Amino acid sequence: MENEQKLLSAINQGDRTAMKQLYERYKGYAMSIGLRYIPEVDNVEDVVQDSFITILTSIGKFDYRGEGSLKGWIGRIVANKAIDFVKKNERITFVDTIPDKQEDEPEIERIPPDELTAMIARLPSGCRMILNLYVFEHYSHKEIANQLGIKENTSSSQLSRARQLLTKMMTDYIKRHET
Amino acid sequence: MKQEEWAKRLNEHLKDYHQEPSKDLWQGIEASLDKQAKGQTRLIVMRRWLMAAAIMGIVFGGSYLLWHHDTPTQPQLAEVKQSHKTEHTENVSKELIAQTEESYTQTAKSTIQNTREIAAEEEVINKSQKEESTQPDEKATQPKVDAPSPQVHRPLPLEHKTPHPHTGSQQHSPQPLRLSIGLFARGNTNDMNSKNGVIMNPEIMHRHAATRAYLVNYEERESHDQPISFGLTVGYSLNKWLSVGTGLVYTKLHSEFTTLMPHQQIKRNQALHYLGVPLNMQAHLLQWHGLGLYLTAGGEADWNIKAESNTDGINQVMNKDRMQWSVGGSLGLEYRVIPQLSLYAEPGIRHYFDNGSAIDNYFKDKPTSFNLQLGLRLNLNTTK
Repeated sequence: MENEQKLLSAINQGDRTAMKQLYERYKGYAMSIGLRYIPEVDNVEDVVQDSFITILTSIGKFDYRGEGSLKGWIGRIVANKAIDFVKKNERITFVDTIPDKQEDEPEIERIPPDELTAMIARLPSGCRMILNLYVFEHYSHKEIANQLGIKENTSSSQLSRARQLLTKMMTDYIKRHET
Repeated sequence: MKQEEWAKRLNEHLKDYHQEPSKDLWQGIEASLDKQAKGQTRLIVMRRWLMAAAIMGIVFGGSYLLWHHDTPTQPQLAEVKQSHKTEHTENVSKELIAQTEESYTQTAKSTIQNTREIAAEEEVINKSQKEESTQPDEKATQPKVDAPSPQVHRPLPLEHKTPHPHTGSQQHSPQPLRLSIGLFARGNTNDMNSKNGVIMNPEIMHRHAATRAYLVNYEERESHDQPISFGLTVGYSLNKWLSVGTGLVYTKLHSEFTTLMPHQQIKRNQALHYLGVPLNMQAHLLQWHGLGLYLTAGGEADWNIKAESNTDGINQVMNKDRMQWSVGGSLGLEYRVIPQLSLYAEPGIRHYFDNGSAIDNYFKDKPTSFNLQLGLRLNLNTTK
């Protein structure tokens, strides 16, 4: 398989095969990002398709910074498109309720990635966005607050809520599959 | 488990997770790419047509103004010619002759050189008026056929003085339009500017461990493209050596801000569109054959009419920049291709004042810059 630089060079020359190759290589990665933000697969696929159109039409502006930089850039575009989609189609709500019983945190690694991704997507929109931005996009609470127009404290507390809700979901999953 | 550690483990666990789409998305992507390519071609063609239309508009608009400016003198000439024709071809009645003489007398009065002729004419007129008032109607018509009379001779001085009405029409015609209109393109001549910097903000450095590791090679870069301007100008000559000018100038600024991290970068493109109104004073230093050398100095106010920001392909909301003031000067060289049309080149210098906004752009990065303006000018001052 060609490396990113060769692929980029071919795409910049208008090579449609290279474009398709880029799509084939990163479509799974793009889907995994979208699925963390958006619960419905159909909507995720729309976002991924739209993201690749943006990627391929603005790839000339991308400044190659070594192997992996293209993947990072693609991930950023998909995440931005997914955030945009959630902002447009969902009312961002923040939860105040904490699960009744504080569970002991199960090992994250015991949950298969597709199940864990689906659990994140099932979180209420507000804490789901904050968890994604903090854990996967490496935003600070201040940056999240600016991005979503909320207070820093809200961002911090909603991350704790997301963690608690995820813990509950993971515990339930383990219980279901152990029995 | 601490929040940072938990976040890191969650991130690591999903890092390599891939999920294939349930259907083939490539067809839709390819169709959209084809559609966009066609749209871009159409846009390029449309832009070319618009530019051609603008140039044609200027050329024809200028030509119309030139033509319109000349027309007022023509009816006067026609009237004069017509009156001459009438005098030569028809039997002139006394009343008509008297009117012609009166009008001629009025014209002649304005010319000092013809004082003596006016006096002579007045005598003739007085005499004819006396004849009209004293002689019966039958007698009044007789001299026309029988003998040369002062009335027969009257057309001669008129014929002789035919240049005078012409001169009069020139003297009384409206002042020529001392206007010029023009089109120009302006670009800066500095090297492309860029700035690099490493963020050392302690607030950012206090992020969780994963992010802190991320920030080891954190770097931000900004680069600003040369501004490019297109404008429409109107100039008015105060005298042979001085003229004032104004117009409408469109300027586009493009900047790129890049945040660099290991294996990842965030790129933000910023485009600012300005519409400006310049006010310039022009001093013409030298005019030799078709060449002209002049100095221009003045100020310009630019309003940011549109601000665009795009991060990694996603359009972001961006506030418009504040009004931008600038002053500049240039040395211009003009070549007059035909009397009405000249081409010019103006190398110059311009200083942009800090407008106090937080928006980074070329004007803030390079407040003083050199530029080159190229254009064409339609001179509506035909007598110059």
